[in-house]
Amino acid sequence: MLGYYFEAAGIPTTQISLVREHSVMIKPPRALWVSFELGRPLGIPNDAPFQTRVIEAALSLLDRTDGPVLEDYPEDVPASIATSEEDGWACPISLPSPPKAVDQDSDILDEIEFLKSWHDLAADRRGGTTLRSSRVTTEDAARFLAAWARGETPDSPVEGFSTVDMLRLASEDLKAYYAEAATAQPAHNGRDATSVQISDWFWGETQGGNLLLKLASVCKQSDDRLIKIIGSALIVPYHQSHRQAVS
Amino acid sequence: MVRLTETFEGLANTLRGMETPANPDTPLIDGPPLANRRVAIISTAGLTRIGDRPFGMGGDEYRVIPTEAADDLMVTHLSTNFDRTGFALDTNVMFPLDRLNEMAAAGIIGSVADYHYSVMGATDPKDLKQSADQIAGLLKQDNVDAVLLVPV
Repeated sequence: MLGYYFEAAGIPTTQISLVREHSVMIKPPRALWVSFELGRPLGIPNDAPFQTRVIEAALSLLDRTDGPVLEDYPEDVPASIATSEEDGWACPISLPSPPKAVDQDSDILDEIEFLKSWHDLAADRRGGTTLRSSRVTTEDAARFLAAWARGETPDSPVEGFSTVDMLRLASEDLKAYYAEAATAQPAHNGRDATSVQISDWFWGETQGGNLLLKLASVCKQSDDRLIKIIGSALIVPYHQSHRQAVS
Repeated sequence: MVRLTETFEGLANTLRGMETPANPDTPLIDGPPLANRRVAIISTAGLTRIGDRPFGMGGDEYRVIPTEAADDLMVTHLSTNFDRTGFALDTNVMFPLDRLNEMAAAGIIGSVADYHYSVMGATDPKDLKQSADQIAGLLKQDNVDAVLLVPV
């Protein structure tokens, strides 16, 4: 729809499409369907030639005025949808303990501290961090989330952010912290861990993942409609929803 | 090719079930050769600059991302069902500004817009019409004649 809004306003528009069925139904002005995973519309991080080829293919559609145009991009990425079991990847970080019940803050705080040097390395390499959407430190985000996971109901610690906002944003910041730490690791067998491998590690092997699994289950029981929505759909990704928190 | 929808079947079913209204007929606009075009990125990833207010549920507004100040971005999209580790490794995988700058330097495109924009893709597209109209006006002021719309 956005493509048509801009085209109707007089600005030629082309787009990358990740879900082909949607483009078939919506019929945007010009669309290049790519087979890449959601969240990676340009395919491969840190692969400038690959990304440039995708952009050139999308922009080349601007020559077409016989819309709607839907072209399939022919180049795929290497097997980006792999599981930890399929190629034997194991996170190089040896965490101090397996996931435990969320009875106290110390377990999650210890793990955050343990990962700090890796996170800082990733931030140095990247030139920054994607954290701070919740505007609190990772530790304070974890304390807030752990309290809710234990059945306490603290208010948002940030003025202007509702409790619902904080539950979502603090969860995303916690995930981002772990993801950034994990992506600081040396490549395994010549290639970096895939998104699925990092996701399986976080949700299956870390205190952070266990905390969010517990949080989601608690929020789903809330009488507050929005908190119930947060727990049901906005903390745990669909492909990890089979997991249960350690209790 | 790898088909994501084949891997995460439950998510695929959810996406297929979402309302996707058909568009009215809109003539497509012609323009100059790509080497003469001024290109802007519009992202639906809910990107904001660190320090800006994150997008919230149903957020129908937009955020401005200046070309000269796009170093500190974060993803505040509502959905948790897309990968964010790629963005942690390289923001260009969602917001390919460095690539556009390189393409402009190489003469593949004419120039890069001074400003780019992001909206929250989880919002009903019909609710984004007002923002889209405002963005279109700003794009014209910036002499943009090509939009690269990037999903997440």
